[in-house]
Amino acid sequence: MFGIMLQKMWHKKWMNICLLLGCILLTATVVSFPIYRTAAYDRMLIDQFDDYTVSEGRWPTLVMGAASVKKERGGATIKKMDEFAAYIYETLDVDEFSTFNYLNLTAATMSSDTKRSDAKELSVKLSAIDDLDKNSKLLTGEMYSESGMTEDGAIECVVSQSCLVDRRLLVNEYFTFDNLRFADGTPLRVYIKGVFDASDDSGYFWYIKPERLNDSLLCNPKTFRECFTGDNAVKFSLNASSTAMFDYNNLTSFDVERIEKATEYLLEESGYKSVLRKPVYTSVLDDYDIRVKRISATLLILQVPVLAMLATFLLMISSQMYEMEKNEISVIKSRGSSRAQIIRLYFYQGLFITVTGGIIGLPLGAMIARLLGSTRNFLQFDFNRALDVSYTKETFIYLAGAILVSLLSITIPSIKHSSVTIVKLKQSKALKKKAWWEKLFLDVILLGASLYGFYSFNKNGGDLSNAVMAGESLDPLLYISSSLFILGAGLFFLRIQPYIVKLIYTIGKSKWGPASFVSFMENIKNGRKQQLIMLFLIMTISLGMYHATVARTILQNAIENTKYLSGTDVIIKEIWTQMTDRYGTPTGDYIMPDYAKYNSMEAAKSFTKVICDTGAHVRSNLSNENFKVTAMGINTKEFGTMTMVDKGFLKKHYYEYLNDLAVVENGVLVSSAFGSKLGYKVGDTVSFYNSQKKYTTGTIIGFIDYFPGFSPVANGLNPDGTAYSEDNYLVVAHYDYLINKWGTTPYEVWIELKDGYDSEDVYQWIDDNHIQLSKYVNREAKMDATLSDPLLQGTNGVLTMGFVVTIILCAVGYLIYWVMSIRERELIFGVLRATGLHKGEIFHMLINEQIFSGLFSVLAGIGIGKITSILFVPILQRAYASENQALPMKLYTVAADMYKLYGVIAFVMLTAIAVLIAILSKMNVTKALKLGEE
Amino acid sequence: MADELVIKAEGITRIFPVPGGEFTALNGINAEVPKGTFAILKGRSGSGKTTLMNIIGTLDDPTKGVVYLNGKAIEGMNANEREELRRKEMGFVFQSVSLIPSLNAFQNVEFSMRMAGIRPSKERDKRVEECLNLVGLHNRMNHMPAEMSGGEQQRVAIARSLAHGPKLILADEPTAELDSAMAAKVTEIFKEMTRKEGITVLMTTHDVGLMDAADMIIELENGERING
Repeated sequence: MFGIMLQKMWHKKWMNICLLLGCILLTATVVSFPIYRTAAYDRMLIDQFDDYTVSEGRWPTLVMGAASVKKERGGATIKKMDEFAAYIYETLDVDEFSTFNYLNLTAATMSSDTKRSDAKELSVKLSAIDDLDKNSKLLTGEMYSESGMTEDGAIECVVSQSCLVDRRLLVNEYFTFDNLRFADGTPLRVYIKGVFDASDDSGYFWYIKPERLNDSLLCNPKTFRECFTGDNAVKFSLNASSTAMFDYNNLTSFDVERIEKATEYLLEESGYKSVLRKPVYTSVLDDYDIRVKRISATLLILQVPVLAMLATFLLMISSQMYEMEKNEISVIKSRGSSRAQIIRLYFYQGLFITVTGGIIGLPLGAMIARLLGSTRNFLQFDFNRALDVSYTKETFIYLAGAILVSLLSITIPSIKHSSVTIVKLKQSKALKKKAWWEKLFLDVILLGASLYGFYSFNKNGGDLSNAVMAGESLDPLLYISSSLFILGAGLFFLRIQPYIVKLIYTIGKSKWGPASFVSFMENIKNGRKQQLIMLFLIMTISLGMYHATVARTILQNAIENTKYLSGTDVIIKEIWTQMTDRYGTPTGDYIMPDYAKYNSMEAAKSFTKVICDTGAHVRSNLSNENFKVTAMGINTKEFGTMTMVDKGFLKKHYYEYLNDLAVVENGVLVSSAFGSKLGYKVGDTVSFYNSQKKYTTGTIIGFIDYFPGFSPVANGLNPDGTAYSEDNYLVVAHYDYLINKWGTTPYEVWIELKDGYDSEDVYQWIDDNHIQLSKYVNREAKMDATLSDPLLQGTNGVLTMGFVVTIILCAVGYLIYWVMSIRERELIFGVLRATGLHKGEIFHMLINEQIFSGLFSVLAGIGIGKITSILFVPILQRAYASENQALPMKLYTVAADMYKLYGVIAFVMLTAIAVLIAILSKMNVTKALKLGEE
Repeated sequence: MADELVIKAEGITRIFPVPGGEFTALNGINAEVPKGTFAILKGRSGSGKTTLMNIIGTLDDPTKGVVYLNGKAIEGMNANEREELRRKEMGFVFQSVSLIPSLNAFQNVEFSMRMAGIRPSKERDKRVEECLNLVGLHNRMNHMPAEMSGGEQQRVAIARSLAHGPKLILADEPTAELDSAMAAKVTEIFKEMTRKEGITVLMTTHDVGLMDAADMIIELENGERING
């Protein structure tokens, strides 16, 4: 059997190579999915922890426990706290990063042994931190010794600089606690041996920073334990806290669930539940889970059409193969082979191809996954950000699935064909009827279903974005309706395509030369044979177009939104201190920081003061209710040079609004919700208070929908997980006017950067000028974060790879179809050549046929792709809306994207046609003619 | 009539290179076929019939010798001139299926006229009907090749070879796949065509039963003419 199989396969090697190619691509695409997903999630997990570390300045993955005990017999609690960290690492099954154990006696007063004139009452905690010596450097004095005690029995201690200063301690000074005694009754004395600070390489060890240890005298932990814990604990009041920090850098997405479960166990069931604080990483992981859910659903649904097309491709090729082998099959059958034997033969053949495909497809899938991870936009890669990919159990499950689907696609047609005998074959050759889908009006049904989807999602647009934000998985109909639309429209095109050809034929009926005539007739009569390949082509191209638009739109909207919300390149708000009266109470008046220093910022092209008070209030014109409003004060001219709002979002040009404001001293621009929700109209006077409750009024000179940095609607999640959205209000006045009315008011400095300067330069300047920031906006950093969002990147990746894979298949399928079609008609071409048709005319004929099938499909694909984009992109992009999406979504098509797409299609189609011409040129007329005789 | 020779072959030799030597398919064939003759080229398979047909049909060139068609030497004609000759002055009928499957009987016949550049279409339509009448298939004009029997298809092919008014029809084993009654009928049609339209027909066959109808028989054996 195996021998026959190999022989049979060799005989049809091209066909089998195509099948193999299909299997490889199918497998690779399928396995790339879990590989990519795992790698992307791993990266996202680490990124999220990194973000936390950077923004909070603290290690995110830590579990903290704290216990207080008073005069406990036996000291079991402290002993248990000593084992805390090890227990946490073991329970969570994670690697230790760093452990911070802090032990202390409750604060007690002590007095210096030298009677100092400036002596004051000192309340301090005698404490100990494990591994303090390894994570600190000495500023003065010495570290406590190994024994921890001086020769005369005082406990050696080191203190932080803040403690030294705040408590006015001196190095080498001795103190005696007023009411504390050792277990044996001798007074407890301490000796200040040195001053320490965190060492430069201590990293995140200091869970409690040295500057916050301003009441702790730190002694050798060994000494501390000897003196105050165990059997001695019964005489002391002790606190013990332990912080177990574990390494997140080697965590993967597979660890998340385990850690979440283990954490829950720790908090609710473990022996430490009473001492544990809820770790911060749980909220990071919750956030991670929501994003994972959203990305998984999105990627899966985006991949389904691609996978369906791959399976269709296999089905198409294998049907084509059976079509070719029909005669053979019927001969084998007539010789008495059973149907089962034939099916088995094809099954083995299929198994051979699919398993080979799987073996090659697996590493290719890993490559695709890497590529997916480096996609920046549709058909655009950035290899600097490649992912680390690895095979997991999930990968192999997907691999098995892919092989199974390929196998079924290849084998199923044999079941149908195995029942063909010569008699039936002869009968069926004459049959020509409408395709089943045409009779069922499947095209119309699909179009109807997809348009229903379009209609219902359009109607419930808001719900959709809210569902997305709440992390709910999306209604798959949302994604599917676009695919259904493409399929339906493609089928509909196939239904009318013969009529179009007929129409063209009729128009020039008398003019067509013999070659054109034959090609018209060939298409009108035999066009149905090409329907599958045409549909494939149409779907590939329209999906490609649609996906290119989706990818571009999502990316561009994200970019525009980030740009808009940032307002300008850099915004700096310094910490403003208030003046105090002679009793130290803030007066409400601010000390203005030096503004002139901004002139020294080399990176700044221009800068301006902007008041931006997010805590202001405004009175509704309709009721007595107060609404929270963002009050801005700007210098219109300077502000206008460094900010912009795209014209499409506003009713008139952005500058016209600023100009209108410029000429009215007490004028204000207000957000449109003032009109719709608060009942104001242009010319009304509106009163508003700043967060200091200072009052002013302004005359409304215009309503503006969008203003740099202003989000008209606030979206977010309620504590119960449901999404909400409510209006934000904005009032924009002149800076000078507000200062005039409110007095000195904290302002932000909006800065436009010169070309060639980036945020690094700004950081440097901030550092150099020792500026304390209360707000810092950096457009560049925000943009980076936007662009590397895994959802965005994964979507682009899947869409790009989907297109590349399907267009390759398309070309292969197209080529196979036409090679077969030419081979089938070799005899007829010979006859035509014999009767005097030029070679050129034969080409002409075939080119006509390519136009009717190939070019028409390409054009239909482009048209359908365009329509699909216009209809469905606005709906789909809502799925990508984040809670900080401020601008209305806009449909973006960039000509370059389309040219790239057309370029790929043209390249592929021309290659296919070149191969056809090469085959045809090699064809010999007389050889064709003689086929009949010998 | 005898002085107007449609085919004149002088010393036609055709040698094919084969692995390890040469194969002489035709060796010095001479033949003269006058206008309006129904000539049969007879011989077993491998005797060189098709090679000779291909050479006369300008599809192949002899290694030696000259063929004159209507007094003009084929030698030296370029591909375009040959195609022109085939389109306008010759008709072909082949052994197996040679109809264009996507055209119906009418269109298949009309096709040869399109090839020959005959217009207007009204004139064509009339001629197509006439030709299909001649082969007795006027009632099957709108049938597709797949819907017709082998004999019917072959008759359509004959009508096609005739429609554009060629001077010479070359028929290569047109009866090979037909039963004897149908073969006789097809032969009869050819004969009738030479009578009614003054066309010259050269038909190859190895069916001895058809020889009686011929005006002339050219018999080949191992690449040599054995009669005349």
